[in-house]
Amino acid sequence: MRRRLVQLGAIFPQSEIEGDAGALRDFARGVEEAGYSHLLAFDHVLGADPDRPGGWSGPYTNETPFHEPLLLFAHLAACTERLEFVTDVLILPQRQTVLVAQQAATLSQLAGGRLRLGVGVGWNPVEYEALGADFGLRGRVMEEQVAVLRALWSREEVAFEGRYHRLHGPMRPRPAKGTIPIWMGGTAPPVLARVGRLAEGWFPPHPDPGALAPDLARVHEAAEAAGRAPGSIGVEAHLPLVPRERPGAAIDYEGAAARAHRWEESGVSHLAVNTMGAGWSAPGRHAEALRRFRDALEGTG
Amino acid sequence: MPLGVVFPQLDPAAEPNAVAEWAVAAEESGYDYAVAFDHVFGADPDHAGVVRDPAERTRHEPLVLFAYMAAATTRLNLLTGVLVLPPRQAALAAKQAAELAVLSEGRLWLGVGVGSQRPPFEALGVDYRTRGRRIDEQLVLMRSLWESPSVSYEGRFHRVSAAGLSPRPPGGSVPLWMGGGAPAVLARIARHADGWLITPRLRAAPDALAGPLARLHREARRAGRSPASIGVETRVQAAGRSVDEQVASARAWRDAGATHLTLNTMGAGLRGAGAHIGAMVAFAGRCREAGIAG
Repeated sequence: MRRRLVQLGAIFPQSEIEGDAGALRDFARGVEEAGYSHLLAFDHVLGADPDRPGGWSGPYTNETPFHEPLLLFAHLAACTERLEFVTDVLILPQRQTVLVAQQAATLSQLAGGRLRLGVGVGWNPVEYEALGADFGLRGRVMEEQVAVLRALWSREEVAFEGRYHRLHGPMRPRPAKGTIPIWMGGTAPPVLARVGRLAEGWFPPHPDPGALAPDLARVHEAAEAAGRAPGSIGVEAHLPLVPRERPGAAIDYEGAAARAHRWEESGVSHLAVNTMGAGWSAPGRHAEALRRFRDALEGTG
Repeated sequence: MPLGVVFPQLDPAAEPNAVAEWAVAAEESGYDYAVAFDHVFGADPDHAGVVRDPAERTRHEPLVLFAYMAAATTRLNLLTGVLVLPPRQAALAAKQAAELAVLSEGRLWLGVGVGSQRPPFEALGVDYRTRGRRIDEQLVLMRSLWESPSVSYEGRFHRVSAAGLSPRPPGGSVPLWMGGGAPAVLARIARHADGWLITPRLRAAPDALAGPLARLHREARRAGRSPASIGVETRVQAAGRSVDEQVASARAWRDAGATHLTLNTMGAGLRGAGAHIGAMVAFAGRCREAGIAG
């Protein structure tokens, strides 16, 4: 088997870093200069106040900063040249499909096509409620949304009559390269089937390559059942430099590079490097860690 | 008086480099703000003289467009003219406006309106007939989300349970402008808004502004606000006018009570960013000579 070189991406460390818009632009330029091919950002429109009836056990609160990814990426597109922008993931069913289509297409135009739209159903009913969207229908709505997005991006005039959408007319602008790749996150059985049927790529949440194989096999089965080539589906795993179970621990770059090689051997096409967990508020610390990881990876390749 | 210029998004040739070049030129030639329209889906623009070209690759979504322009500029304010708010989700509009305020370091002027065409409402799944009641709720909810880290709200169209935005806009607010011209809209502006984008119907002639402007000022005093604190924005059309005639139009609007003048170079047969930039530079220069702009 031919050895593939993974595309290396950096996760935007937005819930830790402080600083003005200039600092965010410097960070994006630093990621590009360090040789990363793409920048990923998570999406949350609102956070729940933990001081609520019944308490709160979710991983984020109303105080955790999340930049709105489509606007953030448009901003960073203006000061970068090669960096691809990736939502990881945009919580699609809680947004209006046509507005997502137009905002993503505008971003694609402005970024010269440097956009990959990762979508997922999310987990937070508080957000859905505030956005007036139905949490219970999220899986079914998202299936239809993907079809609507592709129709709006690819056709001059759209006539779509579905269960959740009725559309007639043209949408402008169209994406820069004719369409925008749609990737999906998640690991529940219906998600794996949906990825195989519909998505151009998958973000497995698995912490190590060993656990990936059975789920990846399910994705590939679903792809074959839908008449698609399994090898055409991209896979982007997440590589936290600071172990999730040991926040604040010093980074072992050699160890992280070894893990990256194991991911590479397991067949993933992309790796998202996460520098959060050390508690660095200065964007420069995250950029430095990304450079050191890149050096360690090349030194052990 | 402050000068603005409409981003010519309905004319062809709005490539990314041209967008940045245009924004930088607007800033360097002395414009205080740029205006972008909102056309979500299927709707015809309410502007005269625009050629609908099925191959056009423009009509950028204004918030995404402005996020891009904000990285290319440092002083230019960014006014949506207008964002049709009722079909959008209020919490997402608040989130995106806050994001743009953060990215631009306070240069967003959010112009909103109720809309006058059904297709965007249908495409976004919102009942057109509820637009007036909906925007009243939206504005209350959006301001709460900008101001407070945790919001609970229960209205007819919205329900939020102890949730909030982060980051929030600098200073906890975003300057709010509103479009329209009906008495109910003027009363809403007098109570809530930093400025009024006068309705296209009133842009035909400066003389017609007197009545509605007097009403706006009366409503402002009734709401305990100084009429002078509310901006009044109108357009100067380049189409069919020489630069001299554009400046004469600007002067007439100033004398009629407009406080913000926006040049629109679309529909004038200009092709390419360079031609639009030439028109905007000429107008700003002549306005300075005529003492209309500083």
